[in-house]
Amino acid sequence: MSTRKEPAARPRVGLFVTCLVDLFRPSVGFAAARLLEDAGCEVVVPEQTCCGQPAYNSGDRADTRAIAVQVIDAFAGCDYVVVPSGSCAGTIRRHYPRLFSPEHEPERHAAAEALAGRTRELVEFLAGERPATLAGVRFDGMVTYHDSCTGLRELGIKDQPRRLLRRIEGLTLSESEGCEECCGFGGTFCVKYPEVSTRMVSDKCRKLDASGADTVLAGDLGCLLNIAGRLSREGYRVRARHVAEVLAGMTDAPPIGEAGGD
Amino acid sequence: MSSRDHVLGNIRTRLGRGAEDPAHADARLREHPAGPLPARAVGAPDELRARFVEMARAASGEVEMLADVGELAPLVARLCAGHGVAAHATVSPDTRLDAPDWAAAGLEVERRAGRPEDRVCVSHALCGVAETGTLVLASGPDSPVTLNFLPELHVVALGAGQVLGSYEEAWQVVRAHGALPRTVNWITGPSRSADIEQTLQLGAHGPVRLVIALI
Amino acid sequence: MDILTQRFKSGAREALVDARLQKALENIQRGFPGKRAKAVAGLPEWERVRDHGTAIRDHAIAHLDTYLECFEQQVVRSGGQVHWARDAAEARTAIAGICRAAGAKTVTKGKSMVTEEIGLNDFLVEQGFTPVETDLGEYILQLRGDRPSHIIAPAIHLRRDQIFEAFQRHHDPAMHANSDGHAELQAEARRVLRKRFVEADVGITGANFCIAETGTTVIVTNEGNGDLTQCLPRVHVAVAGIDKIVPTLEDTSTLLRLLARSATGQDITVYTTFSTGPRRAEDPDGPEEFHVVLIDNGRSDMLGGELQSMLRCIRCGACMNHCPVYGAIGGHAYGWVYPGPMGAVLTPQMVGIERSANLPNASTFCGRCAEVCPVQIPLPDLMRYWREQEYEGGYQPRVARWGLAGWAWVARRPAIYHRLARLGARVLAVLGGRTGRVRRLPLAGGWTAGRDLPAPAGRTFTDQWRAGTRPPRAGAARPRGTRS
Repeated sequence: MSTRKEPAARPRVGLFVTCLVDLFRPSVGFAAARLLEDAGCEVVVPEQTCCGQPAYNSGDRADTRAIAVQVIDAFAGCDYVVVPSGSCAGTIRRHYPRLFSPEHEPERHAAAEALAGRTRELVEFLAGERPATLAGVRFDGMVTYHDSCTGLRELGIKDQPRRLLRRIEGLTLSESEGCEECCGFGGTFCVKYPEVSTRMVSDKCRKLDASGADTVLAGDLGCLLNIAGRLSREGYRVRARHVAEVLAGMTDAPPIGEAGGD
Repeated sequence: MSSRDHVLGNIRTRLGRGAEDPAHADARLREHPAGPLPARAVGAPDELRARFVEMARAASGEVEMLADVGELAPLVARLCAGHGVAAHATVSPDTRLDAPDWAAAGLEVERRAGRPEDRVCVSHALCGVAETGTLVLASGPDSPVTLNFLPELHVVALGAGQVLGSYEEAWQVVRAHGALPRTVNWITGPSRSADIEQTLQLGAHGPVRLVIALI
Repeated sequence: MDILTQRFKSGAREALVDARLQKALENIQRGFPGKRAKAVAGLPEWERVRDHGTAIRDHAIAHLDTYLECFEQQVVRSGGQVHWARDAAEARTAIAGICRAAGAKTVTKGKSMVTEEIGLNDFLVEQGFTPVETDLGEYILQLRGDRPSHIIAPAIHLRRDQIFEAFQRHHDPAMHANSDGHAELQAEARRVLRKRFVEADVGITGANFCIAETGTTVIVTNEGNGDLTQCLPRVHVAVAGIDKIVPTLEDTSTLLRLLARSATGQDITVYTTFSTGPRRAEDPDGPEEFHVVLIDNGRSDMLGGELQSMLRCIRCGACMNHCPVYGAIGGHAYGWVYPGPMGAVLTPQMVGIERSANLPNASTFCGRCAEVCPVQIPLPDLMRYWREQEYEGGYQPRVARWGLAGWAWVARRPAIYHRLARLGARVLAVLGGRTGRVRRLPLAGGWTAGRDLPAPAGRTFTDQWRAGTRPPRAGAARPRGTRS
């Protein structure tokens, strides 16, 4: 491992955009990069595909390990790994170390622990180690925040997005009833048990709408694609965006599931 | 190999060891350390009494304060009349319940264990626990268990000085009487069920009313 | 109980459109979480008590054999008898044997999930006995020939009219209240069951805890039925899984502080009863015989591996009360005795993963169950363990397995991955057309049946980042082609 600069000066942040952002909504990745640069970080995007969560949650430990090794190696030179997704950050932070046995694979385990220790969810990072500047950011409208399960329960992300959002000019925050309830995405769950998933997301959309907000924000694109897809299917007025877009002041692009440029 | 040996053997195999030195368990069993006690289980005697009354009432129990055990008989008579039943009660053979003048209060009283047709029964508690307004009753030669469950109306006498803070303190009292009896009952309020549409309804199989006579 | 775990998917679908069940399930979602939260808030020491309770359970499990032997010793010393059962069949035989030796006809039962697990009632009937459930919910189910759908509130899926109808059909008309009001129904049940309590020869209860120090079994009820079941008949049989062992009276007190709060939101149940041996020589009442039947049935196999923490379970039901999946489909879809998150972990252990794989798979891993578990069982991790067993055992449906293998193969080859992602983004963008969403997508019918699929804009992040494309800052000159 090469020697690194003092992290406090200008940390080298490896941005792990996630497969969903890469495919469905690159603007989230750019918003994350913008936020990190404005917070004084050097942003790099090492070679990446997926964090391995689909394999992990399907019981395929072997493939998960192989993917994890890829990620660990690719991000070795970074001071931090920042992820605009609670579930992917949680996978790296809480679960990568468990993939490698401390007794039988001490080096791999240590490397996983080291990476886990340097991994942050985006909002957590911007409310903690590298405070977001949010200079001149404006968003007019009432917003409600959906607490993605993993971010909330594995990483303790609850206050941080709200604290940041409250600093944005023009924005009012309204809490939804059941904001901590699962939206029904759950990775492969939503396609294996579609009726149950649809029920869960319907309940979620009804409660989001009842909050009076015109925009729902969250830190996980999986939740947002699921919610946005149901909002439009049921004809609700509420629109969905990733919280990074709003924090970065990059809301020119249409909300999720609406037409137009990227 | 008996089932017993099979089960114990499998436990040991899975835990990766043979039979262990009982000392592992002995210490804990001998010292029976208490866990964290809630703040509500701690206080001066009068605080604990007040809390006991508050918690017992919150559990739909009724609490009557009596100056002495003599007042118990008129109380039971009053309760019978109010509940619309004959002035008849089954009273536990507990010697502490000898003192009240039942006859003078107009009550016909039998000192025995409970029977299904009993509508009013009177017991004496061993102690009370303030943290949840719980009565502790122990079975014994003078303390039938059936009195606690068969009647519609259960009256339990409890000395004010016997109100303790925590369950753990109650166990100390029970242990002081020697080996555990057949039954130790913790009773907190009258019987209830919410099995019908999650709607709470008192008087499922046990007493519909629990009256604590705090003396 | 018959194992219907393979019917999970159809059971779930039926449950979702069963209006009456949905109304009943609302009772759970509206009621239990709020009550639990209030009770927990009312005990400022909650987290410390929870940590201590977890430590007690882990300690007992790590020394399970020693404490079981101690428990047995104490039961015998106080005049009781202990029967060991390796599996459900041995347990049933032991219990029937006790009933036969007692010359029993009517056998009353307190609520006991382990007796459902071993299929006791049907066996007792076969053997010529008459088991009568006395817990109000279980009694109603017995009349209807129905199955429990929740471990604490077994009849929660029923509405009042169904209960009224069951009483009308099965009760002696002399007992009828002829009303479907809550109070009247309960009073009618009380009248009918009172007779049964009195005529019972044997009373069977479960045990929430088995205390090693004193050889005591503990039951917690609100109704008092468990008590009438055990103090009136000549013989009391307590049936317990071997995992119910707790070392001392003090340890039990800590766990009792966790149990009712987690289950119903009460600080303590109305009746908590500690039974030690049969009646003593001079006791005026109580059973003459006391038997404890200790059941293994797969529990000891959970030791020494990843499932060991599941043995901490104190059967409070908090996990299912907070589970969004259980809340949507109820307990019957799970197909056996134990529903919800705890059922998703226990059922595969007891009936085999090959028959019950849906249970640990029907979860989003939202984590609410682990959050509310009073003894901190990492339920999502244990469900994932079962998914691993399913994968290793080759029990996953072929299409799912291939899809997964394909995804993983591609994810391990970045160059191919990026090419496919590029293609996928373009295809989906085209399908999204002018609306920006895809309404119907072959191969993704599971998704598009219930919701639109937001379409990508067309170029992946990777391609744009590598090409050096960066979105302009707000207020700067806009590149051609983007909307303003």
